[in-house]
Amino acid sequence: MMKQLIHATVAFMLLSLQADAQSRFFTKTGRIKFDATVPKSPEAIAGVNNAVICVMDTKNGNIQFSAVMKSFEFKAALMEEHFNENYVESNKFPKAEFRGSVTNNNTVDYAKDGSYKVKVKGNLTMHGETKEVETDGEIIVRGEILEAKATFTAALSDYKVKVPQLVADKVSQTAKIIVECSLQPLK
Amino acid sequence: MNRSKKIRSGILITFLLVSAGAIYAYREFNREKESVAAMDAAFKVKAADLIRDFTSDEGSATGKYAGKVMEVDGILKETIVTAPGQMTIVMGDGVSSTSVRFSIDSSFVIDPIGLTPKMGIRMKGVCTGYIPDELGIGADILFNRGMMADPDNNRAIK
Repeated sequence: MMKQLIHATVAFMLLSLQADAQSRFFTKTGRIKFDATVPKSPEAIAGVNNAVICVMDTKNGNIQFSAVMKSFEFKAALMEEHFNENYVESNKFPKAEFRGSVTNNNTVDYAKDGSYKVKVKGNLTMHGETKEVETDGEIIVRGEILEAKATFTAALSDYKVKVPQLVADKVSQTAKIIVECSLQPLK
Repeated sequence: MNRSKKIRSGILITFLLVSAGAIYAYREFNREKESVAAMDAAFKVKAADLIRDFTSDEGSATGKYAGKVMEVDGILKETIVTAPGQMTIVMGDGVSSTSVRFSIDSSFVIDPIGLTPKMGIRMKGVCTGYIPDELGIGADILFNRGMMADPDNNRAIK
């Protein structure tokens, strides 16, 4: 009897762990595009990071992503140097991260293929500053894969990112942070 | 030297200085990133040693390696193609769950067919930093502008 009880407990624990694992999705090749272009910019002030790490738990809608600032690539060498050295000071603040959740997670049927409009809310940390952000996003369920997309707008002043006066009219004071992650089940 | 000659010389010197400044600014503004292929590696390390450095003291390793061109020897874990021209080569030390991930330079094409997991591989790229295992999916040391360290294994996109 005792042996059966132990077996049943272990089986229950394993099933619970499996269920938990199946509700978690992740990627290590997510993409974030940082765009601070304005009409007066001489060229697009935009960088891309293709090594974003993201984990989402479909059970509660919790979502978290981390990005290394030096992984942002810009077309022009000077722009990339200014981004790292003068704006985000990536030696001092090497990472950015978001911890939040899909607030209307119950409207997404993760078992059914389709596109779902979602609201995302959480804390975005960049340049050592953390601010609460909220935005609209989209989750596309495609078989076992979840495509998560969201665009955040971040006022550079909120994150104490200083734009030199000389180029103030050529750089947007609010950056668009476009996140695109193709998440696969964490097995 | 009479007064008009002095003025002419002054104007000429000013013009030359302004022109030189403008040319420098233009060239600097349009400067392209130097190809990693043409750059010497500041460090040549084994993946196991690099992983040990980052996992034992992230801050010190980040200060030492981030932003540097490096060559890393390791064991291939997987090759990931997320989109045309967007490839990641993941290597490790064969033991730990920590990975060394190279986002491949978009100006090169690497044929993934010859790359099989567990084979030895040597990559070159710019170290960008480290993400510890806070999410339960293994830690990662990240590289940008990656390429095979042996230039014969990369095909440049013309």
